[in-house]
Amino acid sequence: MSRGVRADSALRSDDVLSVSDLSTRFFTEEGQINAVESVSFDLRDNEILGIVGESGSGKSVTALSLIDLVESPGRITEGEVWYRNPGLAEEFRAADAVGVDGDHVDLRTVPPRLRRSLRGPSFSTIFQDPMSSFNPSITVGEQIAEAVEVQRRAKANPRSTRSRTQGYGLGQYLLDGIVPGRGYASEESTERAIELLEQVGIPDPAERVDEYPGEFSGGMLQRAMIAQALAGEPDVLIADEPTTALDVTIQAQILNLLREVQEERGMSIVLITHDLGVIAEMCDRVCVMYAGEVVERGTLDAVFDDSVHPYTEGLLGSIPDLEDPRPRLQPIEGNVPGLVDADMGDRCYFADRCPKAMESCLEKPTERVVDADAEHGAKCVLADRPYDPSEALPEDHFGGEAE
Amino acid sequence: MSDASEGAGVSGSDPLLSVEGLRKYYADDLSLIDRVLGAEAESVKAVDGVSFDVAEGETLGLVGESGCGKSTTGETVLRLREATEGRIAFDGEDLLEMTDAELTEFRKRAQIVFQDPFSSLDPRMTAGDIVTEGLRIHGISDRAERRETARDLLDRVGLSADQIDRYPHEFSGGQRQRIGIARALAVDPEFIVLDEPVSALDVSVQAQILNLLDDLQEEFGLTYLFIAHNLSVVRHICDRVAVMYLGEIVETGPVDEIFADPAHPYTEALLSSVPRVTTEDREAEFATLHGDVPSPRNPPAGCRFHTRCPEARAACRESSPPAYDVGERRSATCFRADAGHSYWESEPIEENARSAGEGADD
Repeated sequence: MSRGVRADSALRSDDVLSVSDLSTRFFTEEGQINAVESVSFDLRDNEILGIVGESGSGKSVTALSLIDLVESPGRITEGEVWYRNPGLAEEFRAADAVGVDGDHVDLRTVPPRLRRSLRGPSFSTIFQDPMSSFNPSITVGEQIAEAVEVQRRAKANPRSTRSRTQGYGLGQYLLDGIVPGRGYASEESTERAIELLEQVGIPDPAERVDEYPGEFSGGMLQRAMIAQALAGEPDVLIADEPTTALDVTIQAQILNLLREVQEERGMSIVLITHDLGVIAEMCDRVCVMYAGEVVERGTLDAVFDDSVHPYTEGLLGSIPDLEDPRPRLQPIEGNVPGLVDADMGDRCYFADRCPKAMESCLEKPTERVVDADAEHGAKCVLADRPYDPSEALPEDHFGGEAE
Repeated sequence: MSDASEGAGVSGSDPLLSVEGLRKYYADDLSLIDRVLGAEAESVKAVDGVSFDVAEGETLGLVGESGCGKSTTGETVLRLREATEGRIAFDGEDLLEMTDAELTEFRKRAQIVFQDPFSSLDPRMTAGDIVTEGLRIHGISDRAERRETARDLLDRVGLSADQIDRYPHEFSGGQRQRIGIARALAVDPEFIVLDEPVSALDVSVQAQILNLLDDLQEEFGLTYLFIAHNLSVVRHICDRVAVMYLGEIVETGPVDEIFADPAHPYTEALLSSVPRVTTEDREAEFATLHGDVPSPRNPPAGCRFHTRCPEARAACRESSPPAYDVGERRSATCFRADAGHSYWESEPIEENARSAGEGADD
């Protein structure tokens, strides 16, 4: 089976991941929430891809959707996630139900158990808040060793999820309740954990491996989480606001570390953040998200210096500049929409806050290529033609809706 | 913003707020056994000898990393927390000597806006009640007048006057922060402590609030003490800035000068750690500090920054530097400001040499 939907852009051989038209919805009592809507992007070899947006723009849910961690009442309703893995592609080439294209496999079509087995050796995540991501009652070392152990046990049979937990069934669980002190992790794994801690720059790893998360500072704990994520030697590391909870000097340390591990291991990183400064310093290519959509994407230079979408411009204009303090900031008026399906309407979602909204914005814009640069796309009519004040929407068009 | 107020500061008039040697220690409770054994209570030295002035009409920024004592300072100068030691003078009157009645009067003149717009508004009060609670407490006006004031204030901070009867949960984060600002404005204060007022907000909303604060300062002639960890925000809104580290002010001065030419190595490190929003001259690595902030329970001897300072020498371990004059209305607590100090002859502390990314010591 070959991919039919996106005839325009074939998979590139250096795409580790290629996401197309991914939609994730939450079915809540208040109605259907379109958290991620028709999101498409590629992640290449050896790059850091930034996803930037404000809170509620769907950037975290996009990340969770990639690794199939969306929980009820959320569900991925549509889309393809093409992952490059020659082994997997070979295995499923004959299978009708699974999408295979060259070396790429569509992860949305493979069995859920297989998707699960990819977490660790293929994908790994680090989360925003290191304090709440670790179990406070187990030592940091054991939690990292556990990750190592899971990967070690799975090596014999990488596709099976059973082998990972082998020897840790219900019986073992009950036995541990009675005879405590029997760890899941082997000595070998613990040693590997110490090695990993050292690689992420934790001083005296041999001692600190026995400390509890509460004894680590925020920055150290974030390092430990990176160590844990590296345990499975993943191809893709998803970093969801990895430095938001940290102070600037610590943030700079962690960003340096991420760059270092990326270069050393040749992985690809998806870096999710709301901080445009972090994006500008770290990323090769950028996706800007608003209201569940990727409204503009391209190389860092294209998006930051030649931005087309007024939202991208607005974001950039909202930031006080350290070097050149302008007397006045140019904020985006209004607030982020609520994403409830019923309220969204069939128009450009940004039109109600957009200083350049025109009549044609009342139709939903498709993604357009900007300046014939195949890498640079924007979901905005301004990619095709300049702003025409004569078509501007009257100021009260959206009434009180925009506030 | 900056020009007018800086002028006011230099003109030599008495500062509106003057803080001298302010200390705030939080003591641990001793267990019975400790008491029997006669152990001494260990205390967290949250603020340890801080002095600064805020001139009328100016915005003083208080920056530093988490745990440096900036919020405690802000709350102590309003006597929301009792100072352990020191002197706070507001408009010439000693704040720590005030009687309850005087303090109530003072609270009409000084207000605060908190960081978290979600937990600082009572969920069971309407926007109108929240905004005018101060008026009610001070018995300033009757119910009908208060309602009218609330409508004006909501309108002034960029909300709609019709939203007066809504509850906090019906507002977004930015709108709630506007309510918090309206509440602070209600009693017509002269001085407002802004404790990280924008750090919980998204950038686009953050810019709206910063512009609003600018406008209000101009309109009502307000004096701000702006507490923040975000340096670009401080640069944007403040006239002068005081950089805090572990309960002490390490550098103060006009914001432009400090950002252009920091005198203290900590200020320099803070500035170089901030990711720049530009695609030009991207560095391969951030120049930053190694290690973590030491615990304020047991701060390092000598200069508190010597454990992380890339310029530290043996002299920094031995004594703590006083505040040196490093220009007009500028000071820095670093021996490097004193060309004749024995610091220059002492041995550099080797392991502190810039090794970004490596948490070399602990």
